[in-house]
Amino acid sequence: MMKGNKLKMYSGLILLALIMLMNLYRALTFYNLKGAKLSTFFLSQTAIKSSR
Amino acid sequence: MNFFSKTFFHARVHLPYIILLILGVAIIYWPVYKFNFLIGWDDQWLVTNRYTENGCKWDNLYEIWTAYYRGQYAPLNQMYYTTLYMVFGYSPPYFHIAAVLVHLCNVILIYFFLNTVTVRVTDKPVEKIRQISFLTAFLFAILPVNIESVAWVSASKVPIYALLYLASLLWYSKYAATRKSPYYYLTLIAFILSFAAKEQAISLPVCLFLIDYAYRRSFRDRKVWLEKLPFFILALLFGIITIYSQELEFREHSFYPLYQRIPLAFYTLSEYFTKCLIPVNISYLYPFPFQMGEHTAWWLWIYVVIVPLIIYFLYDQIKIRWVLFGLLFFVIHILLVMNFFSIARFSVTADRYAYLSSIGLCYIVSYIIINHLYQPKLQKPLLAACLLYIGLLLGYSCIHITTWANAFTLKSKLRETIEQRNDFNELKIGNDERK
Repeated sequence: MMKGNKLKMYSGLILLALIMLMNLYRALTFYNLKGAKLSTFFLSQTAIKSSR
Repeated sequence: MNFFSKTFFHARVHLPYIILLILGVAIIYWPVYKFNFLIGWDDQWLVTNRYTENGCKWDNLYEIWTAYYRGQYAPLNQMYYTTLYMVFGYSPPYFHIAAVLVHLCNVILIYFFLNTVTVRVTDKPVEKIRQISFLTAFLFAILPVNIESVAWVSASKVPIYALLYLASLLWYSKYAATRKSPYYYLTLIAFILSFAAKEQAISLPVCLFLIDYAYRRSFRDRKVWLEKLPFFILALLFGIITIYSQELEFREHSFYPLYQRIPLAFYTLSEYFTKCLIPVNISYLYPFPFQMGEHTAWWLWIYVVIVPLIIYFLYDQIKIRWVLFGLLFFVIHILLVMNFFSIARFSVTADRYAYLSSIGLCYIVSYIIINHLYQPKLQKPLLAACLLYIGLLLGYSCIHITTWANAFTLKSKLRETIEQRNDFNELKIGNDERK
């Protein structure tokens, strides 16, 4: 494989890893990031007797 | 080779793989016989309803097949509940075991489907192709994101539609290889039945083109397009039925504006991608990154820039036949639930929507593993990494499945997670006021 092509491939793989890490971090903190407010409706759905 | 010796040969070759697949499903799903209905999470109206209880009377059957039920048109799925109720009554273990059996059938179908198709997308020897197909089916069988579709009785639509969808793809691949018309008609019938189980089946005509691509059929050939015409006409009809069935939902819920749906679609795509391969903190609900009427979160635009960049940088790898096949299989089946076309409900993604599309990603992972497993330098570390990965998936699935035991276990788990958030008190006050 040409050097340029390899560089391109690794850049793509690093970006892929970066985006997956972003998603994993968000999942680990259960989407508790600034600007990611939960709706109260979301909380109401966790009540045992609630139904859709 | 006569028919009997051929059958015996096939059985002998495939049997060890099939046994391992059955074992994989059994290890994860054995506790379901103890599970209850999720009263409070849709089972109370989707499963236990008058259609289920009225049995095989003509007027009940007529209503099941001709009426919408609370924004749903899934008559085949309702027939499944009605039949189970007629035989076993409202006995949760039988409903759960039936769902696991459907899932097992899907796993075995994936194995045979990929055995048929992979021969066309690679020049690998037959034994390696069998191993790739087996590993894909095995990963699919034990994937934590697929637990929701199997362990939740109300989600039975998903494995049932997938069963008929996969049967349809298998028959179409046989048609593409032999051009025998019975396979074509079987594909068409399975497509119709698949839609009768779940509306997501309308993506099938597009997927047929993917099979054509795998079989190297020329897209300049008029026949390739003409034979899809009945499928697209049916898909259009099914689309209209779906829109009418969800009319009320469309009226009650609204869409995010287009400029917000674009970053949401990129974000959702990457979420499904990550969740399938590295499942962490999976749940029955996932919050939207921002609420309707709020500004788009700035970090969402990162996805809009990075996803196309990844495609650009990895273009040479993506266009390899088997990679493209796997990736397109993933994208085609996730397209309708990427929040670009769909209405804004309260969960941004749902594990069950990834059921069919996860096959595409499992396929790519399996191909990479099997492809490198025979290289002497890589063999030992790769085998160790592969076993560790499978072990972690198995472990997580075994833990996660207990969440689905009943409504209390399901909802308590998410409640505990939410209670750890910084904004929990604020949320609680808002929720109390809402009451």
